[in-house]
Amino acid sequence: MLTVSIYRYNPETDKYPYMQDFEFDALGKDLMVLDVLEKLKVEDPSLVFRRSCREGVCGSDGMNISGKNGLACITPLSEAIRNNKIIIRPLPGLPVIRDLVIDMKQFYAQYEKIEPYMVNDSPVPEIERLQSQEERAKLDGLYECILCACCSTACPSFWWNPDKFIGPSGLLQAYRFLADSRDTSTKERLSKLDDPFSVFRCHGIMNCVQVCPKGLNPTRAIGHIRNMLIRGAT
Amino acid sequence: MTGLTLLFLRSGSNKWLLQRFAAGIVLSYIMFIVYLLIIHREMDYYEWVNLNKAIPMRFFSFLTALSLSVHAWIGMWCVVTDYITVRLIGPKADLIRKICVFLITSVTTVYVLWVLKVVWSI
Repeated sequence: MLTVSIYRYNPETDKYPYMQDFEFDALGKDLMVLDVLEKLKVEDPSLVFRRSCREGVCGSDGMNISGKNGLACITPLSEAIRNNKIIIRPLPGLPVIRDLVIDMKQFYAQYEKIEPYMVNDSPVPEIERLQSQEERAKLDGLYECILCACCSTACPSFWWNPDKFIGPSGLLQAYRFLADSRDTSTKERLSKLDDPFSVFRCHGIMNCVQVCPKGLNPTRAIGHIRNMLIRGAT
Repeated sequence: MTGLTLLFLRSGSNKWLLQRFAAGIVLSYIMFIVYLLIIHREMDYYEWVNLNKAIPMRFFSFLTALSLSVHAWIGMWCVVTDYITVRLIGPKADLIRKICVFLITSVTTVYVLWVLKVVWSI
């Protein structure tokens, strides 16, 4: 039997959050953590968590699994078990709404700040705005972000200044548009990022790289933005 | 600090560059002194005094102290704005942080003035 320890908090009935232990028999199968949660929810319908696609695409079920942020749907038990136990908590650093559900307003507010859409005021071509293969290749490793918030909520700088530091996820997306040859607002985007907090509060801790379920590298993207800002400053 | 300085430091890239540039000056000073001590192992007290009396050396020593202060000020400002926030320690954080920044600014300023006095009184 496996012990699954889950963070529980219902603001309507609980004064403080607490950890609740469930016993679970995986019958020797290497299930995904989300499968375990689904089965436990049948046992205790009051357990609350977000999930949707159950295949690592929607980014809904980001949570802290045995100390590491990740998506429950693509994290197998074999990766999460420590001493025959799994500890599941909500993503750290953001307010908890209930159980494993966090309030992501601050995360989305930072995402909104970077204007995550292409800006190009030139007349729209008849078919599409063309890119060379090399220009398109620059977007690889950037566009794949699913906004699960695993990276930003693993970042101490984001914990300390979530209202000022954009966070790894937002900055990865910022670079996705800075690197896009079709976007014409590079200068304006950079000027909005050139304060002491938005980009420069990244201390290169690299938790974001370690936890990204899509294998992306926000620290590298932040380094590129920093270089662009410094080239503009000198 | 003047408004122009504050405007300059409002830019994250300027602050970042200034801190690295200051570190470069401190490093070059350390390397110069170590090189000197290795090359002139037999240097006596009077030679050492004469070296530090030279105007370029006085300027270099003062510039190094200034760079060290600037480097430390930016680093400490980052530390207090990371750790002393309303989110982490409550509503008194803003006042505590301002006091800390004032103390850091005072200590680094006194340090620069003290070095200036020492260097120019040789």
